[in-house]
Amino acid sequence: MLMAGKLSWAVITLVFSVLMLVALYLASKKIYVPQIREHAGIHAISEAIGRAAEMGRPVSFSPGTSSIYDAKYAGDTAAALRILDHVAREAIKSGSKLIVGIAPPTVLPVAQAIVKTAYTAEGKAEEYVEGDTVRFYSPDQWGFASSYMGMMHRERVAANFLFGGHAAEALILAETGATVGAMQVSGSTNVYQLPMFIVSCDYTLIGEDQLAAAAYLSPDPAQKGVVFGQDLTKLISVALIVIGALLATVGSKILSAFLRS
Amino acid sequence: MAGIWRSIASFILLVVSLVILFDFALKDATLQSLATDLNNWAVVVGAFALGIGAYSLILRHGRMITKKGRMWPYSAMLIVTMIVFVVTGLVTGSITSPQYNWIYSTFVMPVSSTLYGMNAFFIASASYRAFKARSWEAVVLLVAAVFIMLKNAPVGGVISPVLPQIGGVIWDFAGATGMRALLIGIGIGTLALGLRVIIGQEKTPLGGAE
Amino acid sequence: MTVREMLNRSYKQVIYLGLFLSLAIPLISPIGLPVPLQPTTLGVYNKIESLKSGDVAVIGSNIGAAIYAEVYPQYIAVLEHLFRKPGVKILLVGHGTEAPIWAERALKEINAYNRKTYGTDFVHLGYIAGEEAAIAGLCRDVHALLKVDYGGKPLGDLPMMKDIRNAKDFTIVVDFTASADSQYWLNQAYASYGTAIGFGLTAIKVPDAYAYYMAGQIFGIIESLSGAAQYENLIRRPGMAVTGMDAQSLAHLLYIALMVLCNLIFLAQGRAKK
Repeated sequence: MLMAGKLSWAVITLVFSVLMLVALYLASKKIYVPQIREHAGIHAISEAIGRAAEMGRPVSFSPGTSSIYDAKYAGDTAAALRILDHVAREAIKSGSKLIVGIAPPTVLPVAQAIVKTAYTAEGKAEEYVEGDTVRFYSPDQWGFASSYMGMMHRERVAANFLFGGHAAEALILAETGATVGAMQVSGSTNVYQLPMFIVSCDYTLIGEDQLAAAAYLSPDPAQKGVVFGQDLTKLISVALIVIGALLATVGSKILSAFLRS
Repeated sequence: MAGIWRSIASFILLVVSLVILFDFALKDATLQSLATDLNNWAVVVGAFALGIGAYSLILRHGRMITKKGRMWPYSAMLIVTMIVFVVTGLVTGSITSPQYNWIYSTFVMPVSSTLYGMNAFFIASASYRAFKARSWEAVVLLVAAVFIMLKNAPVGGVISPVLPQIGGVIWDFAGATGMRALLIGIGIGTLALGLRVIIGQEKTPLGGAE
Repeated sequence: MTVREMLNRSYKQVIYLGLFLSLAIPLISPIGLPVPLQPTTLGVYNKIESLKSGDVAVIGSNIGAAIYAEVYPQYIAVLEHLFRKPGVKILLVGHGTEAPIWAERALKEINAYNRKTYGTDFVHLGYIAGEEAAIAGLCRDVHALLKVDYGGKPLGDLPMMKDIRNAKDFTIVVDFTASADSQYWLNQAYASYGTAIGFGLTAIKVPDAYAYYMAGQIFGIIESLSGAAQYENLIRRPGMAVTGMDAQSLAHLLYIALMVLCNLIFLAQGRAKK
């Protein structure tokens, strides 16, 4: 019944899925809501927005160029949209103008809904401008990059947030932000754009830090449960690596045979 | 009403996801046939998604032109360019026709390559500004970066054959190792997101905000 | 304004000018630095060299105008190598919207249509929309996913497509891209069917793929322009990539010099404050 070479995949996927679903269930029912440590990046977000308010210049936000259906970076995009909610509320409270630049058309309605809800919740619904607060630039990577760069220069943004799945345009956007003097906070799980962000931004949430920050900021306890579930699966992965290395050292092929089965 | 549609969409998502998931591991002719059909439908839906981008662009820039918003001439230029490309492709019947190739080579290629090439200049200014040895970790980063660059550029081997070898050791044992750890994390994160989407916990793919 | 003041205020312009000169001068007047061979490039070369008559090589691509300078020379070199192998069937497929343009350019550049018979020796399927779903569909059943090739000819009328139904019939896949698309072939062709996979990637994507290479899941990686130059040397057809390597070398030296300079200035400023 099971295809050759899929046993280990099935077992690992099942175990990991059960762990994450149990953690999610426990958190959503508030039986066990894990505590996520407060990330220094959260403070950096507030600091950047406060700086923008003092300078009287806008805040810009990009949730990335990956679609919410993207195979690899959908998680990033989802996390970026949760952080957008927090950034929007903080910007509205501080009285700063918010500009959100969107690349993938599938993200546009979601971002619009998030920002509009934030404005309404803070009692400033009239300040939300359709088509201007959340701007769709281009689904093309370079069309988006040139539009976002132009916006940063024209609007002279004082705080720039780059979260979600960014690709090769990451460095260009981050450097432009540095050129206009913006304080920049970024986050990505994209391993080859992280060095660009680290070099050009004031603060970078590396890898899962972005996902953890999104869970920390979200009012939904299930988010925290998922992060805890992921941590459990990572512990299992580490254990497998250590056990595998030890077994391979003594010449045993049990684990590698299982992983190939 | 929106809630009902969301529930229906969640149910369809659950069924389709389970079919594709089980087909990956189980040997069953009916399951495989169903999964193939679902997959092909996804390809068609993906093709339609391309149209959404064009529609959104025309809507936004059309509004800017009619309202004579700031920089509306650029919006007009964008719409005209889009129409020229579409009409050329349709009239000639192929995106590899000499006419389409000409406008592609004249407009798209130089602009795209220029924007991508700007990365090189920005890396240079970022390297000068940010690669300061403020701490021991920064020194390690700096030294590793130098050796990796000498490994990648032929001139490293010309200066001394040892330099690219050191870069290779750093790459194989530090770079690849770190990359694997991040890849494992990303894989687990993707699995977590997939689970949340399948059970209907994640609202964003269904177009909703929390 | 003193030189120091000018450097402090306009350092970016000075850096950009320096980089422009370090790239332009070697392109105008080549130095001719040797290009050392990497095992990752040799992996791809040896795999293609080992192909026998009747084997099927699938060439995937997501080449676009932005990345063509790095990846297109790799694509041309590998296609040229494949076209020199007698009896090897070549299937070109694009998973990016601009891919068919570059595929046709490459085929014309290597004079493919005069060297081999279209439909018997090679087929161009064009662009298939749907990202990973498209690759999955291709690997499951090519004929269920596509009815016609890029030129509109029914697949059933193309002799070589009669024996190619799914990924079990692919001998190797070599994918040329700069994005996460390469993961699709690993997820679908390698994981499900055990197809041998190789990549041609931009420099920035290589670290991601290297983990798979070290684990033996892919047989090789052509790394950026230097990989293309190495491949051009292997097949004895120097082209765009070899001429670009001198420029790349000088630019790398400039980056290293900038990093050293910034640290010297940093140390001097630290001492001055004390």
